[in-house]
Amino acid sequence: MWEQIGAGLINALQPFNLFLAIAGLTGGIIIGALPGLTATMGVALMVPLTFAMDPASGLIMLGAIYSGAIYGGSNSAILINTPGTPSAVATTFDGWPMCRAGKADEALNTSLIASAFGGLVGTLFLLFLAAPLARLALKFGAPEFFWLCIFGLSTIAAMSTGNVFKGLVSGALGLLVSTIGLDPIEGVPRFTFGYYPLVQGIEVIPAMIGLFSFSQVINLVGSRQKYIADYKPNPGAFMRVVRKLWKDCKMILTRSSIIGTIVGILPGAGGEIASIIAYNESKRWDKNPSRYGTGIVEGLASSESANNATIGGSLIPMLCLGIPGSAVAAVMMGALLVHGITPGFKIFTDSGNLAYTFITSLLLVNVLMVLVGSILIKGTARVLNVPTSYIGVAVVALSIIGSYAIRNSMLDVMIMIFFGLVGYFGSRIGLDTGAMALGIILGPIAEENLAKSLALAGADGSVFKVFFTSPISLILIILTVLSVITSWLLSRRRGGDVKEAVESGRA
Amino acid sequence: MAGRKADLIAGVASIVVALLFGFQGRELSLASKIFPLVLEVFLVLMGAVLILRGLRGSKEQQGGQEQIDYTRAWLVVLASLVYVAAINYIGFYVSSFVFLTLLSWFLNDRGRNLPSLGISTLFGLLVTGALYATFWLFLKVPTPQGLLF
Repeated sequence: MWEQIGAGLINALQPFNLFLAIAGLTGGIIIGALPGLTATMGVALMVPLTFAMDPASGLIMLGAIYSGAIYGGSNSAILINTPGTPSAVATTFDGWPMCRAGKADEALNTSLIASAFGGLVGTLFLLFLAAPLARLALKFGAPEFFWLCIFGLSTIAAMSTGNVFKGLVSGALGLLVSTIGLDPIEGVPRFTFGYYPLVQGIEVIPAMIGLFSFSQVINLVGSRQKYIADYKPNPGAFMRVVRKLWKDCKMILTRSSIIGTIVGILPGAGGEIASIIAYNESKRWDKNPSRYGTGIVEGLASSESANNATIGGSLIPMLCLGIPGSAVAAVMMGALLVHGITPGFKIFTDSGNLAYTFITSLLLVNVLMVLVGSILIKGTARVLNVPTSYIGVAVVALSIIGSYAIRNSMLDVMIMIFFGLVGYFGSRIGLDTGAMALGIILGPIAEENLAKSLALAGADGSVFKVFFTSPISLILIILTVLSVITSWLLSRRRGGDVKEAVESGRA
Repeated sequence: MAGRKADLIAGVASIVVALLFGFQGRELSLASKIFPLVLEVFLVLMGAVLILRGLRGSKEQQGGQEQIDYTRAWLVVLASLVYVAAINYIGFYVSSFVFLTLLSWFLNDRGRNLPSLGISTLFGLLVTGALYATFWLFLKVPTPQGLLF
């Protein structure tokens, strides 16, 4: 195995492959940073280019685009509170407050280093533990997926500490909105309100662009702020962040990366779920969880390491079982098939050179990402020096084309504007756009797996057996209960602190 | 917005949305509506809690909200709607150029004079050019078509 790894590394280090990795990373970061352009779209657009290359070079480029795009989503999440990709939703929780506090350089460097770390951990799992993890993925059936979604949704209670009722309402509204369109079981149109095109359902990305981006533009322009945030280039931010992450965040980065890898392995569960679960876990294990959401490095490091770790995870079932763990992995699998390579356990023996070149190139890509990202950060952070009136208008144009590009549909543009208004007015009355986005993302997966589990229970004759007896389900149920209890306790403690502060103020 | 008023509005909105979905889904089979039905019931209950809390005086924490110039806020929304409507008729790139130029000129802090119109025109050209290069030339992503471009 070590021989193959060495040979793979030598292949990956060929000048042409290095060039492809850097070009792919740069393109991926730009694509990821643009709202509406996803990693899937970036990789899919570049697949035809790989047909003229040898399979290993093609895969190296696609892997670099994938890694770059997942990381790139954090740039816009931090700078304009608009997640460039769905997996950067949790990045807004602390990234945006850091940016507003004049710490954009620290935030951008944290997301870069954490992403590279997560990517490396995910790839190491892919390299050394692919087979056992692929078998674990097979143990996830509908009930386990359902509980995983419920565990993800329990984050709402955590993220809305101090405003739990409205957080729950926001999450439920998101879940309800996600039921618009065809019913996943019977294929019946639901909740179209007499407007037939809604049968296509609510596409997650336009809804998110609206909730985070368009509503933010209305807010920024209306607030008459001259700039989005105070920004002065901060020399030495990179090394300061490295020291901080090394000193305080080793555990957070490791835990979040492992969560990201495991969630990534599960087909259908991607960076958006992983980053939210990792964020929630970091908050739960922190001595002072109330700091989360106020703009701290730890929160940002959790979400960014987790979402990039899903890349290695999602490639595990794709390479070992021929089951893609994400939409991007599915596109990459298509590219492999075009080259006549069939994924499966045998890929490591029959096409070992290709497999190990690809995997080791991902290690290299994550190292290169730090270099390429550091250069790009210097340019992207300057967005903050452009007056709000220009940035706001440009973001509207980008949001519109980004929403349209998903399905080439003007309906998605209208959905984006609608959710922009919902996000704007919702936040004025204390609703939580993050919780709503979470509901929209997790709703379809939760409902589909609930329905499948109920069908299984019908056939099996026992709801209890289907939902509550598998060890994975039990672990997820325990984690969900712990998550809710911790949030409740935290909420009570916070209430106590507020009461104490009020009383001491009176005294 | 004051906590009480915000709670009342959030509570009423939550119940109205739940009832709207409930009414729309009244003819669905149980299998199709079980998941949304649970959510509708939950929203009605939560809405009632929020309304009660609003009537009694909210205890939850309300974040401080910035003062908003609603004229500018609504202008962005209306201009965006006009922009979206125009895309269908005159095409994405021309509409984008006009939208970017006029709205950035109208919103800028230097006043609506000829020099600032010049800067906004340059800004409109640059951003439209960047959109064209990214979406059309490089990524080959289709953009909405109209009479012009």
